Amino acid sequence: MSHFTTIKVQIKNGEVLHQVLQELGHKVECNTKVRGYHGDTTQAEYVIRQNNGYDLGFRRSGDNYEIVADFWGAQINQQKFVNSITQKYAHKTLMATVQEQGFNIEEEEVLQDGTVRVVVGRWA
Amino acid sequence: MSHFTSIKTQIKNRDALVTALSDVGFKNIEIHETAQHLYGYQGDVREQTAEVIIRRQYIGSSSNDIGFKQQADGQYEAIISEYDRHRYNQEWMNKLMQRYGYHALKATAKEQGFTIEEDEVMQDGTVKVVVARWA
Repeated sequence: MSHFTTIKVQIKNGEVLHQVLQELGHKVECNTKVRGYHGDTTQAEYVIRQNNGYDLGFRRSGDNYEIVADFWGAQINQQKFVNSITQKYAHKTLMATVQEQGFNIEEEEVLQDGTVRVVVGRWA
Repeated sequence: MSHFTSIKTQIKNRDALVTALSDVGFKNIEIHETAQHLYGYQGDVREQTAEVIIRRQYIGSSSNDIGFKQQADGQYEAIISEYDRHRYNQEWMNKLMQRYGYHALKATAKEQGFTIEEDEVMQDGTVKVVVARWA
């Protein structure tokens, strides 16, 4: 019986996702198998290898990516894991647009509650 | 007959383009799923087509239509006649691109779960945007 669970995330750009995973310190392999319960596997585009034998995969599903893993076996805090990735991804995507659209970053700070605040400006 | 010239732009987001055009003063903007022909100042149909069009009657009595045509790479090219380039010149394009950039940025920010906290135009014309997102 498969223990894999999938979670849809608002992530569209695979290259940015790959960078985010690496920057968060994960060891990533591309286009390979996600290992789950009892030798069970499933395919994904980006896979974080875990030493406990339960991997965390990211695979394309329509326009977005979904996370596929046996979260029970992976023994990670699912919500925390997803949040750490989506926040960094959102920040990176915003910064790419900021530069693409000719804005300068005037200020950037992380508030005590974890809020990321960015001030950007662009002259005509 | 005033010839049309195509000008490459970094524009990819059609909605942001249309809002930017309305910011710089155009109130009648046609949006087509399939590119339509542009017309010259004498009502002559031209070979050029575009998805986003400002018709000549909203530009000036001797003007030709202005169009924005999507290219294979998704970016739009501005199609403006030589005659109209005097008024809709590079300086005008820069202003349009500033407004476009502003709307494109706001769209991305919202899509990525940021809220826009502040949003103002300074005296020197600089646009300033403050966005925030909680973890």
